[in-house]
Amino acid sequence: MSVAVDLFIPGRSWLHQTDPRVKLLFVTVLLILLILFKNLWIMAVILLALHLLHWSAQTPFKKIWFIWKTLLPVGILMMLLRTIFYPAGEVLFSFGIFRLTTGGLTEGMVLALRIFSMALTVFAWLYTTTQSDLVQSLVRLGIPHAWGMVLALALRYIPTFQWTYTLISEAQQARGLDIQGRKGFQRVWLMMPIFIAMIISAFRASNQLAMALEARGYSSQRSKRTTLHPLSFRPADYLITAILLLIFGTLLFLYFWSGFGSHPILLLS
Amino acid sequence: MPVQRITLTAVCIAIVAVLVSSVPVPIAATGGFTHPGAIAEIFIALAFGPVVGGIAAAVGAAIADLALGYGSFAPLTFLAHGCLGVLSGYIGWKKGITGMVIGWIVGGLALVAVYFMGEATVYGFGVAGAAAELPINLFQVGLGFFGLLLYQLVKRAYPQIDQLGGSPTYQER
Repeated sequence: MSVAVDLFIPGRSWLHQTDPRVKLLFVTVLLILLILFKNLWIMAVILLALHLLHWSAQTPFKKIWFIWKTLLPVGILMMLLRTIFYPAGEVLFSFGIFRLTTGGLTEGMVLALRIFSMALTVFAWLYTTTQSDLVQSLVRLGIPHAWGMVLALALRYIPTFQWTYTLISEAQQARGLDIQGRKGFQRVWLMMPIFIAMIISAFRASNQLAMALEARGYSSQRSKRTTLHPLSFRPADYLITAILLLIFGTLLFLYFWSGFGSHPILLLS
Repeated sequence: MPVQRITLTAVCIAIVAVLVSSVPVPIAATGGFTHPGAIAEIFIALAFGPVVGGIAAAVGAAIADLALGYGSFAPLTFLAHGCLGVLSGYIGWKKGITGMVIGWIVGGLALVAVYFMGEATVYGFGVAGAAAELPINLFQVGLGFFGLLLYQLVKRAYPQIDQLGGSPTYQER
């Protein structure tokens, strides 16, 4: 089983061209708002707006469906649990101790919408940003260059180690390791020889990588690090940042001043 | 930071990400799947301490969450797995078997507690919703015991593990 770690979808949309730092600000701002707001209508509008954002960024349908498909079981389970265990407001239907209430149902739906919206927000950033731009933006935001290097190398090596794991697993199974049909702790116990071989192989790769980096003068303190495609803020990026901060500031002010979005149904409580 | 430490941390992040995202472990009770990520996280924390352990667990697990599509849970995963890595490394690194076991238990419980608190309050799932995830998180942390075992076995097969991550010293002959 191999999972694609590089989520970037090539494209030339406005979101692709927006500076990754602006996109990171967008993600931070929206995640805070999504956690604060508890209103069904606001959540629904945000979810719709996020789909429009993905549409404008030319995200293929199957990539949106991938998010929905993954989160649907969690979303439905959490909605049901919230509805059943936290009844409030008018009773719509009752069966034994189970009561379906307007309050419980609304809060459950808010919860499900929040789960989907948070994921769509994060993926709007990751679907439109290359791994190198992502790392560079974090470094430009103040993360030490060495830690940026750590992240870049980790992203580079994940597919390699997935392949190593598959290779070792198949080699061990060809020599009689029988993990098929085993479950839980028993399965993990049988997988230990695969883990040991994979980890030692990874540490050897780490040593070779360190030598290769040193041979190219990476540890030299005298050289200033440069990049092939340096990030630069365009006028549009300044504009988007200003709009984002204005919207965030206004909504935050309204939330704390008038309780905007803190009631499940009413816009102002 | 020495180059060896940079490459070691990167490799550890990748190992955690691979074990979380690409190695399914079927569970007999539910018929579902979980992952052996905690094994790698405990192993790395015990072998290389709280800094490498914390970063590898937090970043590796968060990358895996994103790759699998659980984007909304990635920030909480970062925090929860980070706590496991830091605490297990802080308590169990360079300690005897008792220290390692305590490190595994404390780190594991911290992961479960952070997930529970985060889901119940910040995400708004409530106690019932957060409790639904408890058994699976406890099972994952239970698997972490194999991380302790893995450390002993890898150390036997590859004794150089204790020198990894530090600046190498060269001697002229």
